[in-house]
Amino acid sequence: MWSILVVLGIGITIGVKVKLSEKFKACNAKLQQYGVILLLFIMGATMGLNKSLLSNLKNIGLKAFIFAILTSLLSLIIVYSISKSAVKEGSKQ
Amino acid sequence: MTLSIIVSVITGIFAGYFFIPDVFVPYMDTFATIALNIIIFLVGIDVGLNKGIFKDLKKHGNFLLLIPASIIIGSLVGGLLTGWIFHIPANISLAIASGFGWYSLSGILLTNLHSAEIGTIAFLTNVFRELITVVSIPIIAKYLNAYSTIAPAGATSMDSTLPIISKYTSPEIVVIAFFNGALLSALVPILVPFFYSL
Repeated sequence: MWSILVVLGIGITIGVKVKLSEKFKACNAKLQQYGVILLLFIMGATMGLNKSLLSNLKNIGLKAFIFAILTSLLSLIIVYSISKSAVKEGSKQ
Repeated sequence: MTLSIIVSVITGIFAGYFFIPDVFVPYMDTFATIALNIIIFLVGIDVGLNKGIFKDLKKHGNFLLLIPASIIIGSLVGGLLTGWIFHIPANISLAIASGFGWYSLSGILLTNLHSAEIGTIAFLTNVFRELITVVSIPIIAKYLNAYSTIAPAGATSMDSTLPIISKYTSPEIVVIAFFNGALLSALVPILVPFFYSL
């Protein structure tokens, strides 16, 4: 957790202080995109390598899936309803 | 990009299951951490380049606390509903829901507090939550709004899902997402044992 905070801080400082070329900005966006794909691949591979996780899927997969769906969905509904009014106000200004 | 997200995760799962040798298991976390830190560094540069961001943030400062509060309430209600469906006691379902997507920690906490079975449910729940987040962020950003992309992410909005939020929203949302993730991550080790003890 701390390493991420430090790395983010260094990145922000560079972004604020250093004059970066347009070429670098475009390159940064591409690198992030490839990075995300690599990260998601590693995430998936970690799950695939975890054989006990996959064997547990049959027994408790449904419960875990419903927990995940309902916690995500209700969080989404509440965040969307509070942000919707604020976004509207923002666009009126 | 939505398709490339799904394809990357599925290819990863297949590669992990069929091709990658087990000797790599202890190193997967390190690989993920290195990749993540590099991406977050690049995301940081984007945030820094956006000079007006801190002014924008002041304008929407109330979201810094409203979003995590909404996610906590939504997750707990969702947990209670699931518990009701499967006849799981309320204290356990609330504890599982308070993992907010942080699977490694909530799994370990509940294995110690209760049993390997509940720990595994918590672990899997939060693995699924992360998967749902990864797949739904592009859709939420397109059809709802940018703030809502933080909702399914929960505690992961400060690390593993931050690069995806960044890709589909703006640097201002990245800062709110990071703060949200840090706050929820700090609450996981407090709320999981708290709800379990009820």
